[in-house]
Amino acid sequence: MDHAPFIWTAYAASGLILLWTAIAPLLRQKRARRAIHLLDPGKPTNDSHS
Amino acid sequence: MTTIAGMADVAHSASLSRAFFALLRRDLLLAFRRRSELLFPVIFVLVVVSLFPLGIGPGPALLARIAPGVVWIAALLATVVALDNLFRSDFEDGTLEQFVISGHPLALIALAKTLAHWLVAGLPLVLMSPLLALWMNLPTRAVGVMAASLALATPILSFIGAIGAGLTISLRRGGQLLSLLVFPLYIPVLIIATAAIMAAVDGLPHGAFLGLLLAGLLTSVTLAPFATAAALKISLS
Amino acid sequence: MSTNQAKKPRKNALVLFIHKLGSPPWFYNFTGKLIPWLWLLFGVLAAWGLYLGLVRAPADYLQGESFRIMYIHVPAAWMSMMIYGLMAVMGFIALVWRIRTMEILAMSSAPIGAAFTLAALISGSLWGRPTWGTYWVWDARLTSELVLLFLYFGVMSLYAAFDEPRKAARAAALLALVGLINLPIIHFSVNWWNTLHQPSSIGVTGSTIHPSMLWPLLIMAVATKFYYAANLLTRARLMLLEQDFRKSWARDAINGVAAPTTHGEPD
Repeated sequence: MDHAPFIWTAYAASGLILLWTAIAPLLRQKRARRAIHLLDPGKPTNDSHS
Repeated sequence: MTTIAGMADVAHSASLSRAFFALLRRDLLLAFRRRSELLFPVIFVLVVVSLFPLGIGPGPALLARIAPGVVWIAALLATVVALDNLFRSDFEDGTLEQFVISGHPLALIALAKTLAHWLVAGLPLVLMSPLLALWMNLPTRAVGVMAASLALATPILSFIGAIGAGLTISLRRGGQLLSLLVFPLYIPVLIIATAAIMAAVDGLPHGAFLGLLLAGLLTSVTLAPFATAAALKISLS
Repeated sequence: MSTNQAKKPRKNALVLFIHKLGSPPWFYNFTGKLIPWLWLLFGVLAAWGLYLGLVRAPADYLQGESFRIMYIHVPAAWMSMMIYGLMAVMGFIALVWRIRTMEILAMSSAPIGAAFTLAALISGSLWGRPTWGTYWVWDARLTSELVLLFLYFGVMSLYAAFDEPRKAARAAALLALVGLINLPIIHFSVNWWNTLHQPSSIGVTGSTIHPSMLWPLLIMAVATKFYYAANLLTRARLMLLEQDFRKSWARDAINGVAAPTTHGEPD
């Protein structure tokens, strides 16, 4: 049996799970920044996303 | 000096045991006033167990093979379904806070209430287990072991479950969450109890399994009330 | 806390450090500087370990090429258990000493641990297909990981069910602690259940591990610890920000105002 597809799938799946776990808080951080900025719109901000 | 201290000690422990039995009596009385709720776990288990022959066919050999697992899983489900009521009514009408203010150790209150819960929800399962064994075509030599395993280990389910009930009491949908929290913790009980019954079916020695269940019972009775008390404190804070 | 603490004698530097960790602005700034280095270390180590494991290590004479899955499966399984233990210990500290940073660290650990558990389960079942001929076997290790995943789900959903974050963290920490006490019992009973129902146990311990196969495993095990640290601190910073978003330090942090590093509002 050719084992390569199983190896690649295992690494790809694990990599995707760990990648998503790492990225999810960054996306949430964006939202938190926006919420804080809305609360306090008077001040200038360095955050280019909001 | 010593006599006064000793007397105070005796008075204290007397008031503790009095509080314990008063609470136990109260909970049992309340349960007997609501007969339909009292019968609920029994009917629930009967219905769940009867679903298995309907779902997989009435072959006696197959039923006997799966009987320990089926009866025990039904017992787990019945316990968890009944657990949501353990503290809920007392939490909602403020009685639980009164208990806390009363100054009695919260662990003692948890112990009394959990024991009352087992007498109402767990003991009937033990008593009707011969009927379930008959339905599931379990060999006669294993019926006693099944009853013994239920008698020893359903209290463990109640005591561990009480921790989960204490944690979810202040949540609106606590009952749904409760099952997710406690089922993984029930796995050792399920494994050892069904292994005991299966050993008895095969005519093998099963005393060690029942001994393990007894050890689990003693451990959970001594430790779980304190965890339940901590859980209730968090929920009431 | 006085503003001149940095000038005090160094004898209680450790105590000072612990106190500082309890101060949200200090924690936020300190970890902000630390996190990029942790990611860098993870990246370097993971690249090195994967190169050694996937390219350099020879094929196993018993299992062929599929043993290479081990380099992600085993570190993920180790991490899944280690993180659960750390989460419960941090939860215990949070419960006893009521340190908010500890509550946050314990609760930030749960999703990372669950991710490692899931990775271990998926890679384990993909290893099982060429080895056992099926994707899922109720063997002791996979079953234990599955139960561990359920325990993580319990902690995470209990935490998510409360509106008030501190109460949620305390409740979930207590559950994690109960789970930690139960975990050895679960592990033992699942192992034993496995031998009971499967007398011919299928193990991979038969083949001795060659050093060229061991090194990548150890490197990956260290790399995943840096991943955990970096991810944990990222999540903890975010949780602090979300809980404190009405406080002035959080707005300063967001607006890029350099927050003072030697002092902060006591928590």
